[in-house]
Amino acid sequence: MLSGFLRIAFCLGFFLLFSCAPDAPTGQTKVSIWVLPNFPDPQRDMEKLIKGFKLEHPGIEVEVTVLDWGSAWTKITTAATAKSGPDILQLGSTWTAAVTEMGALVSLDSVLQGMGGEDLFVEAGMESARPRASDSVTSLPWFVDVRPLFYRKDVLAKMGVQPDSIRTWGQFSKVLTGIHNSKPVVEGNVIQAMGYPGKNDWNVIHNMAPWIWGAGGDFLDSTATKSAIGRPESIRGILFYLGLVRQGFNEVRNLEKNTAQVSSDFDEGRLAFWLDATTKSIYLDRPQFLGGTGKSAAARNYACMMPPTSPNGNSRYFVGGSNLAIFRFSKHKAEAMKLLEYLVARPDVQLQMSRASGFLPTLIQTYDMPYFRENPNRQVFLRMVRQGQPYPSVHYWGEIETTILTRRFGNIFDLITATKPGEWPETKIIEEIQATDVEISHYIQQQLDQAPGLRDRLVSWRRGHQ
Amino acid sequence: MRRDVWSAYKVPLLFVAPAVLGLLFLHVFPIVQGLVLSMLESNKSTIEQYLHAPFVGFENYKQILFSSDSQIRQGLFDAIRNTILYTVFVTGGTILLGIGGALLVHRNFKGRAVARTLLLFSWIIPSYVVGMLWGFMWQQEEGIVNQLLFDRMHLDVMTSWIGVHWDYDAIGNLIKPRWLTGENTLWAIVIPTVWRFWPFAMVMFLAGLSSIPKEIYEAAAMDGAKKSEQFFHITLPLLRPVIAMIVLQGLITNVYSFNIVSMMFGNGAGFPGKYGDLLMPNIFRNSFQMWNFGVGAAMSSMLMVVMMVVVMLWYRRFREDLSNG
Repeated sequence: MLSGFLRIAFCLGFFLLFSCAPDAPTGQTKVSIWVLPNFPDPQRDMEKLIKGFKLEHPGIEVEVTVLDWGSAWTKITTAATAKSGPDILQLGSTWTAAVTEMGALVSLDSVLQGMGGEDLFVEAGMESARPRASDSVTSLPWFVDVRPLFYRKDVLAKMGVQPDSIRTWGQFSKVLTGIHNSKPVVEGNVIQAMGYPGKNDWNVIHNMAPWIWGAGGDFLDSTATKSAIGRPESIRGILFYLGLVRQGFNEVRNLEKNTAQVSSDFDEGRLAFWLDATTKSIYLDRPQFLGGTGKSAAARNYACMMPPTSPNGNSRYFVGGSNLAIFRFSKHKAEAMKLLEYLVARPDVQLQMSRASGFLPTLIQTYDMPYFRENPNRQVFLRMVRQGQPYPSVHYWGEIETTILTRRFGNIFDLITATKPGEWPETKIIEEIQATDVEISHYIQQQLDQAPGLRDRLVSWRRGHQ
Repeated sequence: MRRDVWSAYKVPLLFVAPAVLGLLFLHVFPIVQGLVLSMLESNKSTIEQYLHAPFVGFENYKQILFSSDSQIRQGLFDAIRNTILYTVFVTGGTILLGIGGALLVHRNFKGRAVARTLLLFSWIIPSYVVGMLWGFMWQQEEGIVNQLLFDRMHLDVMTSWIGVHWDYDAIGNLIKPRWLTGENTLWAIVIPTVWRFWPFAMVMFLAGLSSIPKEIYEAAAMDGAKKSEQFFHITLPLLRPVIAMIVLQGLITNVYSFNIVSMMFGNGAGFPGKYGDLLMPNIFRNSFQMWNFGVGAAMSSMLMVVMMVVVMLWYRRFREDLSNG
């Protein structure tokens, strides 16, 4: 009986041993990379992007795995905890500090110096690459994105408004009032002044950031050790942004939608203004058979402008994006660094990435190319990148953004939608913002208590960057 | 003695062994692991050490129960209230619709088999798809629910006759209800859940109805019992074992409900709001978004104990029915 089992086990083992394919063709080293869905066709477009690398490095095989945004964070942190994962990983710019804190990333200081230093990259990209509490650069910026104001040229022309004349909050409000009152009809659509989504979306915080920063406020104080959302300037910025609903420029019904749903209102020609990431332009420019919006009224008549500046002249824009990092437990670090360098430090590759995805290069040199220099929309993007900033690169920012702020602003949107026409719950909104302020400060305090010396490092980082 | 037991029951024990091992690995070990985790300070700073994270005893439990400024307490009572209401309404609604549907399709009529199959459709739709679909359907202007109720059926006009008040804007247009924000959010999650699960209850009740002997009804009819009396004095009491099972299934499934709420409100990207947040999304946020695995595990463990008490109460209430059934 036992010998029968042994025979079966031996046969199975033999079968398994010889049925396993080798990792890569003989003599090749396999480098694995985890990326997020950055392109319209995430797997194929990424394979195209690294095709040149494979030709230049025939000894290196690259295995691309595209993670889903919903599960990426869990997979990356599980890999970091289990000490087993890819050689290179893409990290959302707000994730870098947290994964660095877990000790899962390799220092890239020498690689960066070898490339030519930090000045090669846009400043906002580098801010997230070097977490505030870290002595090292632990990732390199791959691409950035900003959120310009998309607008309809034909609608503004019909209203007799020059786009260049919209520079301040006041001028912006005046144009929105004009559209709201006259309700122009273009190609059969009644045009609403603008739209933005409400509580069911990550983008709520990104959309609100320029108004808060513009008003002189902030989410956290300059050392990132205390909340600043309760400051009068921050509240003023939030109230201006929410006031666009109060004045009817953004319809209350949009607050129960997500970005994709309001975005489609713009595509279908129902909105005059719309805040979105630069990737939107790719979809507007593409024909329908390639997944774009084709020749819709919006696609034919759109342009981009920078969101207006506040009464005190401030204009700071949110810069998001992604970085590439090398996993500490990678067995092919040298090869991984070659791939990393290829993706971030080559203008031709950065351009190819930008053309395919709509995201913006982090390598400054790329912006000298005609693709950027000769396109007015991309010039707007570049100006925004120069005036932009990311969220503070501290390991606890992710929780503040995705849990505390998302929940609290969700409550604020609930307050607004529950209000009867003609009423406005300003006092309650301010109370909720102040409660948010207390909650964030309390949460940060907990984080600082658990990491001795972190406060000092953050304060000294601030002193070094004044 | 032990040797005797082994030799006497060797074959049955070998047959039972896989089930016992499965139970150990899939239930007992995770429960023990969860309890251990609930006593560790397992957060982002200590995640690398995982189970070697500092032992803090009942500190996580104390935070939940007694520390009013604890992070997990933010919105926790809203989530508890919503979960209780959600469970009661969904379980109640599922039972009512299930009995109604079962009584309808239990009768003999042409096309009964087709009708029974069609009624099962909502049950076979994955819950995350239900969440996404209803997220669109509930929208104030574009959603099909408000379009049907107000644009087609003019529910506002119909109900104004009985004194229901509706809001109108300055030019007299009806302001349709918002389902995805404010207090209505609770209904926005209850109704799709009932819609998804009632066919399951119907199938269970159909099985129960089929097991009731016709002679009982015939005897009751000869005694002059009306249909309603037959329902309340024969059908309902004899269906109590089925009701017991559906109540149990409803209590457990609905308290641990996650998918529909998560998908309806931004695919996990948003926040369901004060009136839509349930315990599971709340615990998920605290564990996986706030990185507080210890507190999340403590919360889950407390919920498990509460559910054990609830199941115990359920068993005491329905013990006789189950043994008779």
